[in-house]
Amino acid sequence: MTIARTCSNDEKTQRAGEDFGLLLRAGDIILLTGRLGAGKTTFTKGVAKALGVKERVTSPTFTMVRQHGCHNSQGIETLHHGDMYRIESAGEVADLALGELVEENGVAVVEWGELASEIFGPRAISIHFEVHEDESRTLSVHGEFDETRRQEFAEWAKR
Amino acid sequence: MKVLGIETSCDETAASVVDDELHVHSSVIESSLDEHRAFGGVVPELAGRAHVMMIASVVERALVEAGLDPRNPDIDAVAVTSGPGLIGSLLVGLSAAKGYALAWGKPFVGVHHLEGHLFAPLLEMPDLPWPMLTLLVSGGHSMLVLQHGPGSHEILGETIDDAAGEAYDKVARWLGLGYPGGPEIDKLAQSGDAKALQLPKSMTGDGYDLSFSGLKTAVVRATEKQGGLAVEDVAASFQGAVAEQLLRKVRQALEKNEVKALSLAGGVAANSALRRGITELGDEFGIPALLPSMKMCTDNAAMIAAAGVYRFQHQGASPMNLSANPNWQLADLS
Repeated sequence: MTIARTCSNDEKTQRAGEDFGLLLRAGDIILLTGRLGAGKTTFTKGVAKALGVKERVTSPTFTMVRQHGCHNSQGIETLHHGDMYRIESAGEVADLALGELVEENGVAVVEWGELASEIFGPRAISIHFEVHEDESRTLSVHGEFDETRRQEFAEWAKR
Repeated sequence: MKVLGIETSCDETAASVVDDELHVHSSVIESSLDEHRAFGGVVPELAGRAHVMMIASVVERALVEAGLDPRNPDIDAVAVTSGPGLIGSLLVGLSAAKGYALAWGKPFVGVHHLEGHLFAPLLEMPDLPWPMLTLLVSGGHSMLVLQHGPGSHEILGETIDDAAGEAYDKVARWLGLGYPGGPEIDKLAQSGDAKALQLPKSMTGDGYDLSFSGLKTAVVRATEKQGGLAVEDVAASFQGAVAEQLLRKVRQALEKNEVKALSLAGGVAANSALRRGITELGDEFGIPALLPSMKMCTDNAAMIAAAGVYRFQHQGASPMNLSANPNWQLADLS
């Protein structure tokens, strides 16, 4: 069964991110895929809002990973916002050490995450953004989850 | 007083010697751009490796060209970009600078890359009137800064999503053009119709914040929906919209603040539409508009040495355990 949620505009994409952020647990790695302008940064802004990030979340393409301090009751202290747009090889993804960084009460949201899926495999939550003719986006969630999570994500998709 | 500056935060490996009157004694820049061009963007691993290979010879050339003994140069400090930038690239320059400082027994100073950019206009025109408004636009940053004097900066606004240069690079890659995207789009725009595409105006409100993500998405959407658009027209429309937004915010800042000079900084300062617009605004408001030469707009080490002179004079040396800070915010600089 595919878990998918359709968002008709930017605000709804950000809202989907915000709702998703509330379901995250320390150690999670979320890989976002989809073409230019599909809404990956917008979604991440929503996740950041849910996690209680105070500062502005901007595109991390230049430095590849930005760290944001979080304030929430989920036990997540740091949001690592990554971006693989400029990365060419899986080895470079490994160099960013996101897998280790999230172990310290962090979560990682990685844009242009296609390459990173080689490194993280099913351990990661993948969200693919598909843009439709009418500008709506469908966000589909993939990964290997336990039953509780599957239900949580299915609830998320219905909203 | 002479300071050796080292810059390795992104593409360029650079070293320069500058004195406390901001005279540039040497400025050497090696770029790994050709290697990146094939990939449509900076490849971090390549950048890091290229810096390692070039740093020693670049520093030696900068010292020799400044008439100094490369083994024991008569300088007063070693300044280096310690952030923001790509972590792997920053570390090469930082480690080298610490090594030189230890070997020569000189103080070491960590410099903020963007403060370097803000010093660049001073290197070519040292007798500037203050306060000065600087539009700093590059691949990693876009901001409007009101400088009350050297080293005293107030960020009026900055991008809420993508940097202007990043939007250029991404649109260029989307259109199948080369890297860096700025010069490619600028060139095509000269023969295109800027009114061919209706692109949205940025919606960042009355403040000075900037936004380029919506524009990027609008270009993608338009080219997907309308086949057969001339790439020149897309380039001209995109460039027109970027310049319109930036110049609108500059005008707004000139109207609301006491400003005696206007300047451009960062790699996107090469853009012809922006240079023209800034010159016109300077004329209109009756203030000097400084358009630094291209070698001063893009990453270089003279600007790092100049900021290093200022920081060393005002705050002294940095601790030897200073680490690279890839996310260092200009607003956090005291």
